[in-house]
Amino acid sequence: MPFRSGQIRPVRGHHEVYEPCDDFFAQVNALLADRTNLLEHQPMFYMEVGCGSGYVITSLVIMLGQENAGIHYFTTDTNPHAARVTRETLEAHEVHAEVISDNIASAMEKSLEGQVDLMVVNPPYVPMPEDEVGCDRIASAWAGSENRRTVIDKILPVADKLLSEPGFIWLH
Amino acid sequence: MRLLTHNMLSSNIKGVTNGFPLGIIIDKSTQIEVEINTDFLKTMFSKIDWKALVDAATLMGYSDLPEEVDESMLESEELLNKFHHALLELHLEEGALICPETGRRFPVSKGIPNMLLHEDEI
Repeated sequence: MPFRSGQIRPVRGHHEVYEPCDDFFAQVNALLADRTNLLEHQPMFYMEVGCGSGYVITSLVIMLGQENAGIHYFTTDTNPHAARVTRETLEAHEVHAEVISDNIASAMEKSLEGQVDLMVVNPPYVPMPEDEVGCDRIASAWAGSENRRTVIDKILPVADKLLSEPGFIWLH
Repeated sequence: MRLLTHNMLSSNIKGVTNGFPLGIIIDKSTQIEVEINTDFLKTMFSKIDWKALVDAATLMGYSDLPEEVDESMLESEELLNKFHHALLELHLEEGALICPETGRRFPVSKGIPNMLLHEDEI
């Protein structure tokens, strides 16, 4: 059965939200290629950090299924505009993920410790001044600090805490 | 925002030791039917705080969940249906979540809780 992920477009843009481009399509194609592996260990919680326009999470839900497959999706962004556009993208494709404006997964770290089976992250890596990193505007989508590692260095310890025993992180 | 998410969120403000469960202020809520998956519910049961779910569901106008449950009760289809409804079908659309320790409001708009902290709260 052909997947519909390639047909996804955000319902409408927002000048403060990063729009899908080649890196999104590459990420979704990589996930698609690994679909069998993803479903093998009966995942329960999937989390995306940095939903942007919602392209990747929407593709993931369409590809892997939701309630019927027993998977529950969380997706977060530090940019509230991105969170809103993501909800619209999900709704336009009649799928559901829980969207939360949060810094990585700060508000869920206690309860989801050791519970997340897949984390999908496309961290920003363009060298930018520190004050643009993790901001609530579009620059947060690419601002990866002067040494390019600030956001990745913050996400890895969180992933280490949240991931389940068979769980893994997709750092694109 | 589903009550499952409410059950996973806590106030992460610096210095707060008891940030769970968050209080709920409801300006608008909805119900969206989804397919039931009993295996998912049975696994979820061990991961959630039952009392927080019962209290949240009651606030949302759904008071059919029993106060106390144990795993054997999950064999009951009736209980699973109620658990499913409370956990996945009740949505907070507009309102706020409240830190139980400080009273700080985390706004919920278009079903999206904003858990971002201010600089002096980190």
